[in-house]
Amino acid sequence: MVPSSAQKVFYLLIYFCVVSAEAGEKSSEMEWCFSQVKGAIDDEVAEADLISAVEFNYTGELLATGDKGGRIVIFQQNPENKSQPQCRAEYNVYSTFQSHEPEFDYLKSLEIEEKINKIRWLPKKNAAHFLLSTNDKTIKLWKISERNKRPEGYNLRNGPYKDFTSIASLQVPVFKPMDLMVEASPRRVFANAHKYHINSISVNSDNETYLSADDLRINLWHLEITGQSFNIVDIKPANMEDLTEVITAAEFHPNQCHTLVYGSSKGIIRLCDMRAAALCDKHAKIFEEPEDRNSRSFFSEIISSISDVKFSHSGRYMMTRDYLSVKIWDINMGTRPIETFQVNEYLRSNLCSLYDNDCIFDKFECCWSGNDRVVMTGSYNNFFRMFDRGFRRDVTLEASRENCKPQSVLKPCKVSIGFEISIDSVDCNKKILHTAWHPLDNIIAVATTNNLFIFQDKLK
Amino acid sequence: MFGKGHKRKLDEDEAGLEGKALEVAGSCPEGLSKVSYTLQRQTIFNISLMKLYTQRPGEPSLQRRVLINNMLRRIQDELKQDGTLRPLLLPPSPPPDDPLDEGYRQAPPTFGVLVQSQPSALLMGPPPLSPHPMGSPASPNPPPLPSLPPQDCPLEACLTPASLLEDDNMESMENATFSIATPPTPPVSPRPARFQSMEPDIATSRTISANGNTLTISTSQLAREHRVKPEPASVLQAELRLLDPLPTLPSGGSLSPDPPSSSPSGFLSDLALDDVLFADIDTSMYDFDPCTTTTTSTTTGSAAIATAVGGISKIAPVVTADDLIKSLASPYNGPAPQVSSNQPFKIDLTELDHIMEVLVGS
Repeated sequence: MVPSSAQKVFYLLIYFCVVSAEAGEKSSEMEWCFSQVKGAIDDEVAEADLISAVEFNYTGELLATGDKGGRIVIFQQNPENKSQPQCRAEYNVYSTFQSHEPEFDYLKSLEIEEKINKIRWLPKKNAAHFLLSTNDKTIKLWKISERNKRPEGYNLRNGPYKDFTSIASLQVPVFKPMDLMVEASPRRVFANAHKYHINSISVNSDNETYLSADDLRINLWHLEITGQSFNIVDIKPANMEDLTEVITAAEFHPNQCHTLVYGSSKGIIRLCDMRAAALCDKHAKIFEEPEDRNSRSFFSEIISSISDVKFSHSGRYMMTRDYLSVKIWDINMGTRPIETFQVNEYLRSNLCSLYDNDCIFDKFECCWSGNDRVVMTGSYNNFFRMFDRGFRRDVTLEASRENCKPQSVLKPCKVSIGFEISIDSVDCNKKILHTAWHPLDNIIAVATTNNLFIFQDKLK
Repeated sequence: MFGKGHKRKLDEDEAGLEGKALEVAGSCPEGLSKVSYTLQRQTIFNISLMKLYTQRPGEPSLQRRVLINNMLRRIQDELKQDGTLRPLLLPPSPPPDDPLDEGYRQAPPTFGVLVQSQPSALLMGPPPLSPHPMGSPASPNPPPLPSLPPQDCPLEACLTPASLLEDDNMESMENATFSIATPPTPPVSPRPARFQSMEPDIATSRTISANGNTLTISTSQLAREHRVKPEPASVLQAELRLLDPLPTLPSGGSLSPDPPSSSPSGFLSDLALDDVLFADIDTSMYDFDPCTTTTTSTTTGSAAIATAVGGISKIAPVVTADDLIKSLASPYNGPAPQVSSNQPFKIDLTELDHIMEVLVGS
């Protein structure tokens, strides 16, 4: 039966509706394009070049990276290209400085590594930028300021001092423009407050205080005062051999200046309210998921250890990363997470080997997108994973120099989980521990061992 | 890398054993048979021990050590629950101390070894992990193993009479090696009887020592705050440096001075062996007055041990200047730090054990 013209039009309409609907759905899916890669190309990785911290500032204009050699490199978004959607993720080196030096503790005969553990930016208050950087023992507040003017025309000081008796007339020194110079100067050094290794720092929303957390204690500092800090959490037992749990990550709430959370090596997250008491040893709320008896193994405790905890930008949710999964918690409900995403479940059958080569102790970080809809974390083989909370989709992408053509779209990698993946195919030397997401745009920074990859969302 | 397809033997090397366990673990994670489960458990136990005892390059992480220690405790509890626990006299050397930890020391495990010929003791089906370690951090210490006599002062309260320990220790010292590369071999069948007879003595000797300085060997109570100075461990480590194939240990000076090492106390049961071996050593160089006075009421065996120990400690000072100073200084210590002066003796004896083991093993 030959369709009438009216029916043809009808079918055609339906077809177009379907096509456009599909296209609409596709356009909401993010596609990531390669933008830049920073770092050495050669395979020989110098130990000091290992990237150990990545952080965007509050506007996303600056991207700071810290490495194992104690250096900080700050990249700035190219101001000319910011408005062009295709190359808005172009970052150039803005400043490089040595933040921490290796130290030696003579009392304990121990070297203190200069590796930068964490970088946290302060909200911008004036023309200069401020960031906190920490190694295992010492936190430093750095001021990064620009200088593009220089005074010239001194009467006595142009070059060698002139003999004042030879001056016939006076001139007023004036500021003349000069090449832009970015200076980084340490403004505060917060030292000698931690007996154990600092693993986290977090700036409070009051912009006056911040916390630093080591394995057993959390200290509260005032940004202006370096001589003392307050201890607010102390989980050190009276008898050290009773120690079974350590603090692994801590963060302040983004909006409530009295709330902080810390994760532990047992997979427990505790929320503390500083209004309740001076010492927050007793938690206000505890977040712990009951253990799944079916998947219990020798390594259950180790893989449940919290490697990172991050509040959402809204402050309503909290994300935790353990070895195999990412969990989203509602801070009002501590009985179980509201979402759980498996990052690399295929590793579960290889836990013994990963324990043997120590990779089971790797601390992966995680981050939220600016609108809290997508979360991202890294894995092995230079894979990183994104989980879309709204569309319940996840994608695995790879950061490698092979996909390095500008604007080339990253193809999602398919990791087959149907059958066992042998430990040999898991490259534990290529791991992405540190990732960061631009707070206002879909630009991400992904750090492999010694390279920093910057990707941007392909705007349609 | 791992020995695939090796026929598993008692004296198979560690790598082969691990490889087998890893294969088993990797290939059938869910339907683990009893034997493979215990095999995996033993492998993980050995790996954990190696991790703790091997000096790693770079900074040791407290989190990592706590997790490994929890793993060991969990396995230990499981083994105890299984009921196949055999007190295993492991070598005395503590893992390299991270002075950072201020006394957090992993206990040198005195775990038992699974007896191979007791399948009935193995768990049925997928064995549940002990609920104990899953408890809160404030859970009480696991009860101490009734394996080794406690250490206390006076000396006679701690030492099990040499005659009782002698036979057992000869065998146990052969079995227990410091190099954890070889898994501890299961004890032969006549041994259980002797251990049984030993235990009542241990139990009674533990009750004798009632004051706070009691040190029973268990994973939880090992690094108790003690008056013992760190020199025993340094002496021990100095001696161990003589043994080449062993992992290197930090120098004596790197120990934290605050909480003294008390791990050497775990090796009191080894004293008898040294009594047999070194009774004829000339002790004229050292005059350990505090020691001999405290041992007046002991059996002659113990007194011989004390004097033998005095002679034995001559070996240690040769190694480092620190040890020399400390061992020379110890005779001049007053009777007050009795425990501390007793400590070096015990340590030295155990050091000699290791020398013996090396000699016997070669």
